[in-house]
This record gives sequence, structure tokens and C-alpha cells, in this order.
Amino acid sequence: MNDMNPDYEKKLESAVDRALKAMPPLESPGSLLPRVMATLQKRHALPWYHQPWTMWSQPMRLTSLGLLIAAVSALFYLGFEFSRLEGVAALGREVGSWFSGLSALISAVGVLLNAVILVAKHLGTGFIFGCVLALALGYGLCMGLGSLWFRVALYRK
Amino acid sequence: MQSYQNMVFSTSMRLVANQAEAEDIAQEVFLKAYERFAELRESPTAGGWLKKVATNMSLNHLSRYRARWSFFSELVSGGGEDDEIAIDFADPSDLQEEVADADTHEVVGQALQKLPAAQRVPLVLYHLEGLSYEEIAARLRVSLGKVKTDIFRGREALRKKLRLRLEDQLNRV
Repeated sequence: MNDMNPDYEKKLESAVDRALKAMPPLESPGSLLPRVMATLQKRHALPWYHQPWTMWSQPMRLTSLGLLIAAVSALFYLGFEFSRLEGVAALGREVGSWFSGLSALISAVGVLLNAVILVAKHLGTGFIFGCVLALALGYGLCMGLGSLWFRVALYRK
Repeated sequence: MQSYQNMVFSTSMRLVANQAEAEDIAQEVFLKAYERFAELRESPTAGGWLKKVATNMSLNHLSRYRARWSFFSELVSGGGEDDEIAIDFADPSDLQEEVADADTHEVVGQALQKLPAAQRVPLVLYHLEGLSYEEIAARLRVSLGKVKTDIFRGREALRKKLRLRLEDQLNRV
């Protein structure tokens, strides 16, 4: 067996290296250049604010960056000032009371989960393992069939 | 762009092994380059930048669209060891040999494209992009051992497909 023999590996590496590096670059399809140019023309036809930010002019980029920083800073400052207002804490409590019904829902879900755990304990680990295995097999089968379809659909000789 | 389009297309094509996808990636590379046209226009490293972006975009494309299919695709694609082609990698010294050499390169390219992605991608990154095993493992997010094994298997598959003539008769080793 030649597998994993260091001397053999070295010679194989150099032979494959020579073969691969000797390959000239592939000829690009003739449609590549027209496609790029057409896309660029389409982009140029768009108004400046629809173009990528990196394509904007330097002063425009600096201005927009400055405005963005100023807007974020103002937002933080206003948020901080707003939280210090008298009525805000009371408003927070009021909003909290609107969602008090959620705690009942959470406790109901907790009870349901406990019931599921009890049932699972009663059924035994073998049954649960079987269910998980069946689910995994079903998932694997779906993935396999999907992959097979994908390969057959895209197969090009 | 014209001077780099073959290089960019080749880089993508050898990684993704699909002409339509490689063309899409090459287009994206040049659109990205256009956004940085001012920097790249005078840069002596523009070619390297384009190659690097083409490699990264091809790898991103492969991981995004093919990862979930790779396991099954390797089952379907098979070894293909029954279509061996005899090739001698001699240096060309006259026109006749150059013509034969062009055919040889085409056959090598085809054999490379027929390899499963798990072998082709690390093989291309190692031999054509000059990445080390460690860099390939980090880039593909797989173990170093897997990279070495996949590259070895890829080389073996190429050798069997092309019946490469190695120095000092490998059979004696």
C-alpha cells in the first residue's frame, strides 16, 4: 500500500503540483464583459441615493457619516433626558400592567411542560429514543430525497 | 478588466466547477472592484486583490449553497475511476508537443472539475492559491486532519484519473 507513505506523498504532491500549475487560465465567457458593463450602466442610471454608499462622492460620504453620527448621538441624548422626566416612571408602570396577563400565560405553559415531563417519565426513555430516531430518520429521508432531486435536476453532462 | 477577466473567471471556475456560477461570481467581483475603482486603478496589487476577492466569494458561495448537499452529492457523484486517461506531463519543445500539451491541460482541468467539492476545493486552495494546510483548515472551518486527508484523496483520485507518471516509479515505494 502506498497510502500515507511520506516519500510517496511527497512525489505525488510534486507531480500533482506540476500538473495543476501548468494549466493556463481558462478563457472567460464572452458574455462576462457585456454583463458587467450592462449592470454598471443600470447602476449609473439610478439616482445617487439608490447607489451603493461606497459609490457616493467623498464629500457626500463624509457629510452622510457626520449626519449619521449626529443623529445617533441625539437619539441617545434624548433617550437619556426622557428617562429622567417625572411622568415616565408612572408611564412604565402603566405599560407593565397592560402585560400582567402574560404571567398567567407563562404559568400555564409551565404547567403544560411539567405534564409533558411526567408523561415522558411514564413512557420510558426507550419509547422517547424511538420517537427521536424516527423523527431523525424522517428528516434524513427528506434531506436525501431533496438532495437526490437537486443533483438530478442540476446534473449536466 | 479585460486583462484580469480570465484570471478571475479561472479562480472561480476551479473552485465552484460550474460555468454559470463562476460567471456570476466573476461579475460580482468586477462590480465590487468598480466600487473601489479609484484605489485599484493605480494599484500594482490589483490582480492579487481581484484573485483574493474571487477566492473568498467562491468559497462563500460554496458554503452558502452547497454545504447541505455535499454529503449526498458525494454519494451520487461516485469515484469515476473507470474513465482513466493516459497523460504524460513532458515539457513542450515544439509546436506538435504544444498542441498535445493544450489537450493535456484541458483533460487535467476536466479531471479536477469532476472531483467532489470536498477534495477539489482544498486541492485548488493548496496548489493554485498557495494556502497552507492550516490556512485551508481555518478557511473551510474543518480540522487539519480532514484537510490533509481530503487533499491526499484528491491527489490520488487525480493520479488514478490521469495516470500521472511520477518520478521514480511510485509503485516501487
